[in-house]
This record gives sequence, structure tokens and C-alpha cells, in this order.
Amino acid sequence: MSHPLRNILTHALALGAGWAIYQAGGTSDGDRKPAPESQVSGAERRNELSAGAAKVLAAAKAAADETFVPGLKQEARTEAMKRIGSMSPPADIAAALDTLALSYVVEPAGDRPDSPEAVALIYHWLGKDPEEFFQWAKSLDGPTGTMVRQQFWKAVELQLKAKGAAALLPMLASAEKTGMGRSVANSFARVVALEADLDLIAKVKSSASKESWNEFIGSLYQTWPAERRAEFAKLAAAENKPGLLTYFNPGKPRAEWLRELMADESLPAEFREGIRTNPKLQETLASDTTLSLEERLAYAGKQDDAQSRAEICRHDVDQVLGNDHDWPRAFRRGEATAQEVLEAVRAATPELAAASPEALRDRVFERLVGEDPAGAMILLADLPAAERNARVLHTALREFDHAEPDRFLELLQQVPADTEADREARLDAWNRRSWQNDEEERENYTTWVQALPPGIDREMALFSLARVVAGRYPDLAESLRAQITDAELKQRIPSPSQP
Amino acid sequence: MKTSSHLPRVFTHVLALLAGLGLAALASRGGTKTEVPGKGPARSTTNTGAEAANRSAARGGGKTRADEYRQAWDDLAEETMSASRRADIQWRLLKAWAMVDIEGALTAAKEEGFLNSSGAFDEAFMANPRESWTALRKLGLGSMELTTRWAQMVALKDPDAMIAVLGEMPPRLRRDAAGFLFEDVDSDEAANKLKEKVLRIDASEEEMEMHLRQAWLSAPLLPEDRVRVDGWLDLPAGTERLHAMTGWASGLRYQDPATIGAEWEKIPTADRAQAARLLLNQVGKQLPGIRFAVDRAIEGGQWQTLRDNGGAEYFSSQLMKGEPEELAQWALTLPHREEVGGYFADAILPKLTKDPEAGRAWLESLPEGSWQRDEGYAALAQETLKKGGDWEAVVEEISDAEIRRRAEERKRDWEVRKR
Repeated sequence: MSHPLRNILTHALALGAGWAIYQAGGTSDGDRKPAPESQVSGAERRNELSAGAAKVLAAAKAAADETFVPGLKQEARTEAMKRIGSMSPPADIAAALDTLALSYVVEPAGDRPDSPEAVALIYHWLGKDPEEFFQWAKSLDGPTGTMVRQQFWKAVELQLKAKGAAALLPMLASAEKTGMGRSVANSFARVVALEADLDLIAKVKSSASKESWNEFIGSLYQTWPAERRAEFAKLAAAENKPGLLTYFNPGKPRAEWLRELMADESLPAEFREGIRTNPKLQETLASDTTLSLEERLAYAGKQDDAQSRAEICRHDVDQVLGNDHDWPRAFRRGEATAQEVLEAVRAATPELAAASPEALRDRVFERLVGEDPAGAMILLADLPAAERNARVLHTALREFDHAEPDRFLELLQQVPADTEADREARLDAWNRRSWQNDEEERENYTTWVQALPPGIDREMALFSLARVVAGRYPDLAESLRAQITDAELKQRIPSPSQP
Repeated sequence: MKTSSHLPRVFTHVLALLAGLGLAALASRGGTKTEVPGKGPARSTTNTGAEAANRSAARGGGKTRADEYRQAWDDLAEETMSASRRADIQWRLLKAWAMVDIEGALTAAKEEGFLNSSGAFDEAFMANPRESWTALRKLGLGSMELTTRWAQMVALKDPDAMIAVLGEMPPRLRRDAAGFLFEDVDSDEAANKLKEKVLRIDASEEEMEMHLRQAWLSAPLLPEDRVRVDGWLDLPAGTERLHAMTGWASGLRYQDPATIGAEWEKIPTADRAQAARLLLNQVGKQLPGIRFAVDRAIEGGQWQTLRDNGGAEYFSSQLMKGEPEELAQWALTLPHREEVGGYFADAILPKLTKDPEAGRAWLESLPEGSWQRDEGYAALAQETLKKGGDWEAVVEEISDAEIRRRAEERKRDWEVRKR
């Protein structure tokens, strides 16, 4: 027998043997062969499944509950300190970091890995000659740049812990000399804020350039402990920068805290007034649902008109709908009707419900309509037909970004296309949807449009999509336009010769 | 010696035996159904990861890891909680589930309208690219963003796996795909290795040109290493020539117009249309040769390439960096064609907006009824709209009914699309 043929046959025999062994239940894990169906009851299987599912779900919840701890985690700190202690720094730390970077793998979507070795090398270099380090680091790219950017702040945190302000200030000065002051100030701020050390912050201010200082003070909020909010406020007041309070987490409702600060006469009047007039903080103050509508409008610095009320309505309705009941989801699953959701929102916002019932209803409609368009229409049932149609078409145009195309179609089908105004508004809604859907879903959207059932919406979908793609895909536009049968839309198709 | 020479054969026989075991196990699963309490039959899973999970679980008594995740997902759906907490837990479930049963996880996410779930599937995409790809392709409408994400992730982690499915990609994703491959390349050596892979792709000439365009755009050589014109002139027609020619066009992005002009003179007439196309696609992102490239593309009748680049944001911003007077004079030399309309508007606007009064006077000085004057007013009207000025007053100046109609249509689009 020829060699190749023998090979084929013996391989085939091995393959067959494998098949036979499996069928006979004689695999090497013989004692774990499939149990006959009759030996494992349905109830046992269900119990096992439920237990497994419960474990999986508990793990996901535990991960979701894990709180974010700013700064180095204890294990990472211990590991890095061990490495710092045991390492005798090489003469050429740059070369050592370059070598290390070759095995520093950051998955495209992965977390930033810990590298105690890199932290130790940077730590030693910063201790020895910070200016040389920054000079080298400022033009880094490639894998070494990635690694150093991700590990640098850890070395700074450890330097600060080990040597205090005496180590930090010369470092910042060196960074400034090499043009890296701003980016280094951000890392320093994160580390300094962990201890909320006001003395050290004052020293940074006295020695840093204006640019570095602005970056530094504007970055402190990221890791400043919530329980030391009073010191944070004092710092912001001393700088007369109420804007620093915007993103700081005070560990209690922000609006309440801001009101306390405004009433705190130990703080400069100018700073307190600054809180009142800062647009971002005004927004926060006006969002406080424990206040009266009048007070909220006053905090917002706005007139009591339909638009201001609609803005407050939008905030409050969204807050109620997003609470633990998750009303939009309950509505989508048929566990609550639109009317029941509206009642729940009214009950949760009695003052607003009495003062602006239409604005409240409209916002609830806008939030629910994407979940079940036909089911949400009951909210508009009492409106005159023309007003109802206008509201639906406005919602289709402005409130349906990123919604499923099927839901959008279902919404449009709640209104006729009888009048010219409704027809034009419907076309506008299609024009916006097609523009966004083509951008997001490309060929998938084209397929969906071409599969639509006959009717005015198919006509408008073809027309609007053709307009969107005509610039780059003229052939596709032509084929879509060839499918249009509506006489009025056909008339609007530009002739091919038009520039 | 003898033993070692037989080792490969022993190994392949063992592989065949294992394959037999695997095939038998797969075949034995044909009619198995797993019931999930209270939910009817478990959703079917056809991918190999899920099958492996099911197979090993069947031996343990009927439950599967994929089923556990489905059950956990369904149990979570019955719980009451805020939308943000649910989304957080769902994200974590999907991330782990996808590693066990990507199709099940994707299907569940789609049912929940959660397909663009910022990174939940990244790890699974990279760990099991082919299986993920197959699952993604079944999802249809709503899945393009995630499919694009797959291409980006897999291109970085496992370029071969991405290249292997290029032919199955929808055309517009395929157009961008080679760009993803080169997105994170940071050395000429790595770029060259990847380009070698791209050259081995089984693609039509048109598609290869598209892939090479993206490859060179994303990973150009350093100016000193650029491909010279004699690097491709004498090569026979084929992929190697196309590659070198695209590299040459890519290298011209750094050169001044005089150098580009001198290089152009060396190109035989028969190659000029293609060279013009490649040049426009490569120098479009840099300033010096941009008008030269547009002019050559017009000469060569490369209308589709002109259409693709004209008016694109990156292109406009580069073109508009030119000196306003020179740009405006150049605009007046362009033909009145749809494919060139974007270039005309970009080239004329700096003059019209730098000193609005002088710009307007210049526009009025153009011959009345000329397309340049009317298109100039149309471009100005669009700009006025964006800046909140008196659009009507500008549009009134347009004498051509068709140009005015298009200006009105652009206004409507702008209003419909704004936030």
C-alpha cells in the first residue's frame, strides 16, 4: 500500500475508534459519562439550574455593588513597596522601562494592568533625578509611553507617602521645567486630594506656575474624601471659585449642601453669591424636589413661564420614572398601563401635577412612547385630533433618536397623513430617522426600508434614505428612488443631471 | 532518530482519535432539550462554546452554564430595581455569559434593546472571534455598531481572524476594515508585516485598492522612507505594483506642490487616471498637494473618488486652511458638477467669511447669472444659517431656480438634523 493511502486509512480508523469509544461510553472520564435521562429527574435538573443561576446572578450583583476606591489598592501598594525595597535600580532606568514595556500587554478593551516593576523603576527615577525623568517621559510614545502614563501616578502616590511634600514639590518644579507641569499637576492633585492635606496644597500654590496650579486645583475633586467636604468648600471659597463645587461628590444631596454653604456666613459673601449665579450650580439647586416650584424657579434664575416649567418637569418626571419601579420597563412589559404610570408620576410630584398638568403628561408620553407607541397614545386621547397629531409628529422628530425603527414606524402609524402640514412633518421625521439610522445601521437599515409594507411610510422611508445616500452612493439612491410610487414624492426627486 | 521521525504521525493519529470523540459527542446532542423552569424550552444555542458547555453539563445531570446565565438573566428580569442598577447588573452578566455562550448573550441583549452595550462583549470577541462573528451576523437590524466594534477589537488582537471574514462583511464595514487593522500600529516594521498580510487577501483589484488605501492612510512611512515614483513604474501590473503605487501616493502627502508636480511629470499617461485617484485618497488629509490632487482627479475623470472625499469633514478642514484669495480663484476654475460642489463651497467660503463685506462685494462682482455666483450665494446662505444670520436675504440673490431649490432643501435638512 502506498504511504499516503496507508496514512489516510490509519487516520480514518483512529477517527472511527474515537466515535466508537464515545458511543460506548468508554471515554477516559468513564465515571462521568452522561447519566440516562431517567436517572436525573426534571426537578433535580431545575434545582441545579436555579442554584447555578442564583450564583451567577449573585456574583454580578456583588460586582455591581463594589464601591470605587480612589488611589492605589492595598495589594497593589504592598506589592509595589516590596519591589521598591528589594530592587537596586539599574544605571539605565529608561532602558529597563523600555524592556519591561515589551511584555506590558494592555488588551484593547482591558483594564490597566498593575506593574509593580514599572512603578518601582519610576519611583526610583523620580527620587534620583525627576527632571531627567520628565525630560525623557515627555516625548514617549508606543508601548513605553502607554505603560509610563498608566503607572506614573502610582509611583507619585508612593513617593508622597514615603517622603511627604518635600518629595513632591521639587518634582512638580522639574515637570514644569520640561513643559510637563500641567499633565503632572493632574496626577499630583489626585494623590494629594486623597489626604485632603491643606498645608501641602498651600505649598503647591506658592511654588507652582499659574497654569499648573489651575490644573491642580481643578483636579482635586476627583479623589477628595466626601466626609471632608467642609475643607473642600473652604478651599473653593479661599480661591473664590464656586465652579470647583460642580462635580465634587459631597456624600449627601448636592443641592442641600450648596444651600447650606450659601447660608454659611463664615464663608465670604462673594463666594456665596457666586454659588447662586453659577449656571451649573443653579441647575443643581433647581433640581431639588424637596423645594417648592417657586423656590426652584428662583434658584434657577428663571421666569415662571411654560418653558421653565417644562424644564423642571423633564427633570422631575425622568427622576420618578427612573426610580426603583423603573416605570418605562414596567410599561413595556405590560405590567402597568400608560395611565397608571402617569398617575404614579402625578402622585410623586403633586405640586407640579397641579401647576403644569399638560407639561407633565407630555413628558410622560415622550418617555413611554418609545417603549410601546400604541399603548402610550391613551395619554393623548383627550386632545383635539390636530393637536394630538402634531404632538406625535413632534415626538417622532425630536424624541426618537436611537429608537428601534419598528417602534418609530409604529408611532407614525398612530397618525394619518391627510393634511399637507402633517405630511411634511412626517417626512421631516423620516428625514431625521433615515439620516441617523443609515449612519448607525448602514446596510441593515437599507434592508429594513426595502422590506417595509406598501404605504406612505415605505414611500417616505425610500425617499429620505435616497436623499441621505445620494452623495456617496448614487447607484443605491437611484435604486431606492426607482421603487417610489407616490406621485408627489416622485416629483421631488432631482433629475440625475442636476449638479 | 526513528522515534522522533514518527512523532508527528503519532500526534496526528491522536488528533484523529480525539476528533472522532468530538464528532460523536456533537452528533449525540442532536435531540437533547433542556427545560428551564417556568420559561418553556431553553433558547436553542448552536455555537460550539455553548455546545461544549451543554455537553459537559449533560454529563453532570442536565444543567448547562449557558442555561444558568439565561436563567439568571430571566430571574433578574423579574426583580424590581432602578433602570441604572439593572443596566449595571445586566452588563456584568452579559460580559461573563458571552465568554460561555456568545450567541445566547447577544440574543438576550438584543431582546432587551441593549445591543450597544459599551464593551460588555469585547473580551468574548477577542477570545472567540469566529464564533462571535457568526453570532453577530445572525442579529440583523440593530447590530451594526457592535459588529463594527467586533472588527475594531479583533483587528487589534487577532488580525488574521479579522482578515478571514473580510469577504463576509457588509460592504461599508469592509471599506473601513483595513483601517482598523492599522489603527494601533506604531512602527514601520509592524506596519510592513501587516501590509504583507493584506496583500495576501483574496480580493478583487477594486477591493485591494480600497484595503491598501486604508492601510497606507493609517500607517504611512516616515517622510524619509517614502516610496519614490521609480519604486513602482517598472513593476508589472498586479498587487505589488498597486501596493507600491499607493505607498508612493501616501508619501507625497508630506511633499510641497513643486515636488509633487515634478513627480507627476514622470508618470506615463496610461497610469495617470489611477495615480490621480490614489493621490487624492492619500494626500487629501494633508495640505500641500490637496488642490493639485483635486485638479488631477478632475482631469482623469475620477468622479466617484472626488465624490467620496468632497465635503467630508477631514477634507474640508484641510482644504479651507489655504490662503483665501488663492482658494477662491481656484474655486472659479472648477467644473460645475455635483461631485465637485463640496470643494467649490469649501474653497470659496474662507474669502466670503474672512472679511464679510469684501467677500460679498467680490461675489457681487462675478457675472450675473453665472453658476459660480449663484453657488457662491448658496454656500454663503448655508454658512449664514449655521451662524444664525439672515438666510433669506442671502438666498434671494440666487437667480437659478434649481440652485435656489437645493439651498432650500439644505436648509430643511439642517433644521431637521439639529439637536
